[in-house]
Amino acid sequence: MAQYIEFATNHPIMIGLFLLILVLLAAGEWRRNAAGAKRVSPLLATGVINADGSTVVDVRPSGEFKSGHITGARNISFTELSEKAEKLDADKQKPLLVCCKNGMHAPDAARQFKQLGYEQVYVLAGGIAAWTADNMPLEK
Amino acid sequence: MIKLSTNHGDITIELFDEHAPITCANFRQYVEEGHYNGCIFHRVIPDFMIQAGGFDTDMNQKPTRDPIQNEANNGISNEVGTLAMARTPDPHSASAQFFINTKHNAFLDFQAETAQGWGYAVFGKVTDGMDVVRAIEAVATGNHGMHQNVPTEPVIIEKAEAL
Repeated sequence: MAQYIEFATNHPIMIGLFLLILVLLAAGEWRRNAAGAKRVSPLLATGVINADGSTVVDVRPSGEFKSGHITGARNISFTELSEKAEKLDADKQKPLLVCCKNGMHAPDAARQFKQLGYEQVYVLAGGIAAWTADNMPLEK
Repeated sequence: MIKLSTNHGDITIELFDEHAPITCANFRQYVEEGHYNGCIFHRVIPDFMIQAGGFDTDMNQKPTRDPIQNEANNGISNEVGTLAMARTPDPHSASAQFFINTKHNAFLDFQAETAQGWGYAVFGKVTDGMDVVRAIEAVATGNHGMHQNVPTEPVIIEKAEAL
C-alpha cells in the first residue's frame, strides 16, 4: 500500500489524468443510460413502435426528418425540445421511443421526457443511421 | 396454398399471386425444390416478426437463386399474419428468406421507389396455424455467432409443400 501512495505522490499529473478519465467514463455511461431510458436496437425498437398507444419522437432538425423518418414519427428538433416537449400530445403511460441521427442526442432528449413524466422512455441505439443499416425503411 | 410443417406444428399459407406474381412464383419454386425443408426460423423477435428460409439447423446459409424484383408497391400492408420477403439494403435483393409479421408492421410498407422507401413485399398470409406462429414467436432466443435473436432450441421447417 505504501508503494502505491509513494507512486501517487511522485506522479500527481498521471494520477490526476487517470481520475479525470474515470470521471469522464462514468459521465458517459450515465449519459448513455439516459437516466432510466432504455436503449433498444432497431430490431427490438420495432416492439416499442408496435406497442398500443406508443409514440415515436424524432429529434433531428426538420430538414433531416423530412428526408426520411420512421413511419408515424413526430418531429421535435433537439434544439427546440425544451420549449416544445411538454406540448407533445402523447400518453405518458405508454411507450415513447426517442430517436436522433446516430444516437448522440436521443439520450439527452429521453432524459427530458422522463422529467416530464413519461414512464416508458426508450432510446433508439445508433439512431436513424442504425435503423437504415438494419434495412428498415423510412417514409418521407 | 402452401403448408409449412414445423416442429411446433403446421402453418398453412395462402399466396397472393395476383398482387405479387414474381414473389409468389419464386417462393413456390423454392418450396417445390425442397429448399425450405430443414430450414430454421433463425430470427425471432416478439411483437415484430419471425424469419426463416436462409439457414439450416447448423446455421449454415443455404444457396439461393438470383434475387428478384421487389413487389412491395402492390398496396398490401405488413399486417399481422402476412408473409413478406426479407432482403439486404438493396431493395431488389430478396431471394429465399421470408418473414411472418406478428404485429401490424406498417413501418415496413412501401413508401417510395427509393433505396430507403421500398419497404418489404407482402406476398401471402397465414390462413391456418397462427397459434403455431405465436408459439414460435414466444420461444427463447439468444446470440449465435454474429446472429442475434436466434432461437436457443431450433425451430425447424421439417417440410414445406404445395397443397
